[in-house]
Amino acid sequence: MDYQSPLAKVRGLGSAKSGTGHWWMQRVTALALVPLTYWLLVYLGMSLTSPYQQTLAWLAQPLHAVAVWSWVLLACYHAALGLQVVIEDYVAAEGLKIIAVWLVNLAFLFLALAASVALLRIVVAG
Amino acid sequence: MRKLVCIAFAILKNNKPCDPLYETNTRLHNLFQDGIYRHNHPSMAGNIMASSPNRPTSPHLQVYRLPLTGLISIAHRMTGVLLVLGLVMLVWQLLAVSSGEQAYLMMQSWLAMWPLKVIFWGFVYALFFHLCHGVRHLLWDAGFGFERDDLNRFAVIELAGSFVLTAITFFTL
Repeated sequence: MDYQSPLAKVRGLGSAKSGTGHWWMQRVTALALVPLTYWLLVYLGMSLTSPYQQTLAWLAQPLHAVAVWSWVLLACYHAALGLQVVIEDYVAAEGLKIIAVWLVNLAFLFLALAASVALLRIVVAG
Repeated sequence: MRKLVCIAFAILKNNKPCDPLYETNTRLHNLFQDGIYRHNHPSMAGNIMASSPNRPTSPHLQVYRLPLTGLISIAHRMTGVLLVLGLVMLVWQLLAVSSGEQAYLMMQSWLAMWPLKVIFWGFVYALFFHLCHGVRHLLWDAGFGFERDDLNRFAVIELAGSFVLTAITFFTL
């Protein structure tokens, strides 16, 4: 039988070292996404109306490709951090919570990789 | 729902009919508290709340209407979750662009249909709203804008700002 309270167990162990990491990266990615959103919208406007070759030529320019790519990668990171908070707020069962958070993380990793493959195909192969 | 709560508490209070004036927030709140504190009324017998009558009660979501700042706060979270669907669609769109001209034209014809156009502009608005409120979160983190007047002013600026930004995007894209 364990009579120690959770507080007694952690007392004296020091911090977990990564407590502010999640909060901080949420802010860093948010700040980076603000200016990058301009290129995302230009890309979307172009790809929804312009001819194929024009969109490819626009995306082939390094600044444009890097901006759109960064937006997608940072958005995936930002969204994974955000959904983690939402899950932690509303899912009470500990096991389900951990599984849900990691499913979300893996789903965003998959999305980021899919976007990267697509952008590499566009930029490298034309 | 609010009417139901109103009627329920009117019944608790000596079976009086529901007064339409109680629709206002403050009255409903008072009514709610009255209902809790009337622990010696026969209709409260056996009620859990009646067993500990002096517990402080916070306004419940069904009784209390969220202020504008509260609505914006929950909207920030909801747009955040919905934008994830937009992100999935964006990756699908990028894959279509990378798959050659035929897939590109197919994607364009899909996104030219009006239901998807509506979803697209909903995505843009949600993106700008989330961005505007996110900027305010950054201001809060930097220690600005905690006064009540600032909160309300910023709420209006955010809503107007995201609308204006969406309009500018609509007319320039």
